[in-house]
Amino acid sequence: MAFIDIDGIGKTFGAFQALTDIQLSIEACEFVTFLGPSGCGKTTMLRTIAGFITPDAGTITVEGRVLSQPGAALPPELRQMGMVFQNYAIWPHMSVFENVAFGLRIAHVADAEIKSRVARILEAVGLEGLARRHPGQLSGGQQQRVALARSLVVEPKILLLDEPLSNLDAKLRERMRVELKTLQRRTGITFIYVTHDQAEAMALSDRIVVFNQGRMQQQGSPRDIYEQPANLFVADFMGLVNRVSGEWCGPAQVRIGAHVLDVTSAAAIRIGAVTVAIRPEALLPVTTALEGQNLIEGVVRESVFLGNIVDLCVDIGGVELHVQADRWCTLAAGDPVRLAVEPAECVVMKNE
Amino acid sequence: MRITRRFTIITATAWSANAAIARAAGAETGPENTAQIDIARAKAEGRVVIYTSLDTQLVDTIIAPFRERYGIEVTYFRAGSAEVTGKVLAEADAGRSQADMVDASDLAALLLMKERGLLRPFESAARALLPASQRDPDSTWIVDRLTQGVLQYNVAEFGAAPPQHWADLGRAGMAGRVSFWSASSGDGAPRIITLAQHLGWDVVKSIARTKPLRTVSPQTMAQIIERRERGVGLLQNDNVAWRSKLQGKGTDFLFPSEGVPSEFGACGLLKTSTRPHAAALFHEWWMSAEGQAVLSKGGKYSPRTDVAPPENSLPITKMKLLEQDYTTYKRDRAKILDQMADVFGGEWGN
Amino acid sequence: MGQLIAGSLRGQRFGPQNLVLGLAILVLLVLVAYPMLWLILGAFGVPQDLTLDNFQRAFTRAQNYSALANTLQLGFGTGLLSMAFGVSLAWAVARSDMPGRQIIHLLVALSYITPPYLTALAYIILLGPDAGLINRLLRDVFGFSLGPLNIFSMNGVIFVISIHVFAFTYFLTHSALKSIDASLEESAQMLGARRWQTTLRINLPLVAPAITGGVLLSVIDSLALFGPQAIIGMPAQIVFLPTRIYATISSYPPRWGEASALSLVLVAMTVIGLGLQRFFLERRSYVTIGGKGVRSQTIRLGGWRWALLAVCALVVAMSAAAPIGVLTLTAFSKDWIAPLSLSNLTLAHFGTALFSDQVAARGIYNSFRLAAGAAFVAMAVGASIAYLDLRTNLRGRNVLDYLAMLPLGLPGTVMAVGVLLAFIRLPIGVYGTIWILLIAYSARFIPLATRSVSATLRQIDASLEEAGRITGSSWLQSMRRIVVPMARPGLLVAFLLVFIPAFSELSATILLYTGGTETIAIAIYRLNDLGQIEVVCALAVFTIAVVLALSAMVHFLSRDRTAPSEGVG
Repeated sequence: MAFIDIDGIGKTFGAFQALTDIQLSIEACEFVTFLGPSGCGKTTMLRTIAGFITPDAGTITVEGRVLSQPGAALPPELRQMGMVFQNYAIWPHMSVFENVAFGLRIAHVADAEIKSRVARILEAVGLEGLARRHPGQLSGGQQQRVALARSLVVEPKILLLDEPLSNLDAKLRERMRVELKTLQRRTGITFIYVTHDQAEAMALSDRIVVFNQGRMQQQGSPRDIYEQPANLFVADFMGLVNRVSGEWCGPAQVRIGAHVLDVTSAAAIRIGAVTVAIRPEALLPVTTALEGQNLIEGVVRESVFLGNIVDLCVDIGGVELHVQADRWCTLAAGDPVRLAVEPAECVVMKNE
Repeated sequence: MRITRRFTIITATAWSANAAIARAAGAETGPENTAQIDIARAKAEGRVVIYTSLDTQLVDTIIAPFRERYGIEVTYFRAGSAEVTGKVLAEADAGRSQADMVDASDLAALLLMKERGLLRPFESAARALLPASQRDPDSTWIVDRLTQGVLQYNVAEFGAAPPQHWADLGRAGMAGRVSFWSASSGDGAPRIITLAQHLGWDVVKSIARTKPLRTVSPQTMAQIIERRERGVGLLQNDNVAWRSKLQGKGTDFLFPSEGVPSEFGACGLLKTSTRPHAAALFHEWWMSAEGQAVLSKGGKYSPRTDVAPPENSLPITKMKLLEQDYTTYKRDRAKILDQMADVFGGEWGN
Repeated sequence: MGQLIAGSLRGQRFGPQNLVLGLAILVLLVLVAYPMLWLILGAFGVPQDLTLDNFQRAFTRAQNYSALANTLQLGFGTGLLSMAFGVSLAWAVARSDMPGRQIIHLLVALSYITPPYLTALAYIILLGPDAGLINRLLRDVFGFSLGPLNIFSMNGVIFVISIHVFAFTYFLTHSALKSIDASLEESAQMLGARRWQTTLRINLPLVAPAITGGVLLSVIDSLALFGPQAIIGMPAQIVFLPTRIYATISSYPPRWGEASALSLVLVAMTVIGLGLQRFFLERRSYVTIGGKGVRSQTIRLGGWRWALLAVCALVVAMSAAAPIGVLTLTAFSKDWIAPLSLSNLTLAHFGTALFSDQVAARGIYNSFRLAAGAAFVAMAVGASIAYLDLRTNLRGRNVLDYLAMLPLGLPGTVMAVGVLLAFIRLPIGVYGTIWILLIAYSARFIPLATRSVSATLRQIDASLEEAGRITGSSWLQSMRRIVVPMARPGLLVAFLLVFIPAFSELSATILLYTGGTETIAIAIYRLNDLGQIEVVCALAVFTIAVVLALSAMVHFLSRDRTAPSEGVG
């Protein structure tokens, strides 16, 4: 039995099916990210774990203790979890110190201990010296740290984070990412993190769970999910991808227009129309292909220099492919081009 | 104002002599006469609630010495007669009667309450001092004041030649100069209908044709005349006209020789009262010579023959009074109010 | 393991959250739904009968028919006048460079917070056909034989009510005009539109829904104003539905069924009006609302701005300065008919009003405690209903929200009929005590509190409360330590928004008070009946001073928040 067992969770709001049969195990000390577009159910799942939402179906078990079951949920305050909210939810009528001390006061911790624990945690999140400030006098990043300190000071076993970095500017976001990751490693707390930003998910997570329309699409390590998406949605969501219509024409071959590509596929039945997903950076402009690579010939329609890469649009006979070449590529519109791609990079999926 | 020795002696004697009897006889239904009033019980009851149409200043003056003497709290609801009556009836319908005693300047209202069985017989010590027409043979009500409808006018407007007769108010030259009063619940109606019955509808209708300005009460009508918004008031309360003149507000009043309607105000005790002794004790204070003298000082005529008329006033015996037919009024009230609305327009509670 | 959860859930079902919110629902049902039920039952003659006679009487008796017709005429007239006053003043204050705009704005607010029955009393003194001060002045100056203006007429009633209710039209139009970004007008001007063309073709269509909504609100309020309808309408011999309902009950024998049926007719009128109002205001959404950062164009009028100021000053002089001035003057005069002079000044009437007159002194005491009690109840219930609506997914919560808003469409007179019918028969001692007034006031003003708390609660993100929960505090602790402290200024505003109208409430009180439970409005109304005009004016000045002070407090507390002017019924 895993640390957290999410077993068949379902939830509807009126006619809206928010979660369907979520099945997931999370290990202690793991950093798990729920990833998906807005309205996909990731936040609903997080709030169900927190106890704010009572599921209609399924159970949530932590360390063998059922916390949620259909129609019943242990209230959030008894779950010994922490949560960081998207807008930080810093109480504006309390000082930084009082915000952080709140959970300890509720738990009737002695004053002296509160002082030392709050001081320690404020130092850990880099807020030493700001204890007397009021939230209005803090920057977004500082508020973020207060929120973290507030949830960590009560030493939860599980920390839930609901898009905590989405309100920060790009630079601060990257720095906080590193800090969060370090913090998680150091404290050994299980982090369950919700975001719609796939880059953030990949940078932080031990494991990513992709949600769409209330269903789990795929779970796995960042690399697995990027390289072997289970379906078109995951492929799309994890980054830029060419989606090319084709048809099975051999045990491991798909015909795309005039081209026949060697592909990888988990599909059992290899017949009929399919879609092949190819990442733009997997298509390499070459003069000759290496052994085992597919070679596709086409004409450059457009070429845009973007600094670190060159964006190409290549016509391969009625189908346009998006190619990301390295910055030394000098191809211009109208030039003929040959593209090499590994069969492993051509992921075949059912049409949707 | 203090309660005089005489009232105290009367009630105290009655109390000491009859306390035992009272305790037996009035145990369930309350005292049936003055002698049965148990002052100790009245004090224990502690409070009296009266519904009255009397001016609050007079009510306050009557209450104060009573409250001081017995330590019995008196709370009152004061509104126009019709409204007071409406409230008593509504509460009785709902079985939630609040009042111990009711007083209204409309005897028909008391007759209706009696008919509905809401009033409790009580033989007041004042009965002997009142003519038979002013007390119920069954003792459920007793007249507590007489109000005459007089002709009030602004002195500056008319100088030495004010209109002398009711019919004068209906002359062509009076257009826009006359005022009359009735609250929306129709309590100005009884004296107007009396005038119509005695002098004919033509007089009333000709007055209505002058487009008289309506006010909601005698007091507001006095204001209208004092300010000379209108020059003359139809059927003003004699006490209000008297006070206005006394205070030098530039008005005077007269008693037209064809007669003035005399309106009987009356009071009675309610059957549902849970404080029968306190209520009866207050009733007797209200009807006593001392209580009635308060009214007289305020310009009201007492029905008691032993209470002097208001200062500088005509004795009631010197007036030609137009009697009101209360029995008919009680029976035909709805119809009469419809007539009023037809003649004068506006709201009569019909 | 499952047992454990089921156990803690059971604890939750009767936990403090459900207990508190359940209690609020119960109170709402008792205060609003129960009297409404009785109003409907009463119209069918229950409990004595089950009949349609009352409806037949309501529609066929000449008196009722003319009350209905007069009420419609009143609504039409106040609508027109409110539009004329409200829109022109709003335009002048919001968009022109007229001097004294702030003062005009404040005086409009003052005319709104002055209880309308006081304005009516003042206008009897000012515009009595023959003796009214203004009429006398006009007569002296222009040599009229009779005063030219007669307050005791349909036009008089329409005028007195309009100078109170036009504030709704003014505030809604003003905020709409303020929210049109100058760029919208500048674009039109860049395309060659002249000033008047821009006004007609850009501004007017943009603010039209706000104007319509505001005018409807003015009309709805005017239909319900018992005070001026009685104080001016009675002498004018004009009957309106509220005064008709009052007379139907206060005459004897009281006709409850007919009054209930008439009440339902009045409710139908106001509910239709409110429905239309909501419809128009929702269409307003295409106006750039939000207010913040909106830059509005000021129109330079040159010399005409003084002419415009004269017009605006005349309107607010009529609506605020003159009535309050004459009430104050009378309150301080020994003899109110005598001309103004130093020797004629006195403080005696205030002594009488505040201390020696029993009814007045009791009225002041009762008004303070009733207003405070009703404000507390309405705030508590309103807060709970707003919380239920915004923070829970309880089924039927929108029904509760609707119920909490329903009294907006119920004139005070109607509310009183319902409350009377509902509580007079209950064996618990509510009828004939101050509690029945507390019930009526709380019920009447729950919408104001609910709307106000709801706006406050919207500004407090749910996550702030949830952060408390997940940090280990129970629902009650989260409420006490997080939500309530944060909402405190908003709750205080809600409290005051109920306190202010409750303090001077007349139209429901007149049917529900009894000896000992008189309020300040009753003292004013009854003492006026008894001709004690100076004492009445002293009470009026006191009342206006109290509501003015409290309104200033509301303004101070909510200056950073959105203006609560919209739809305060």
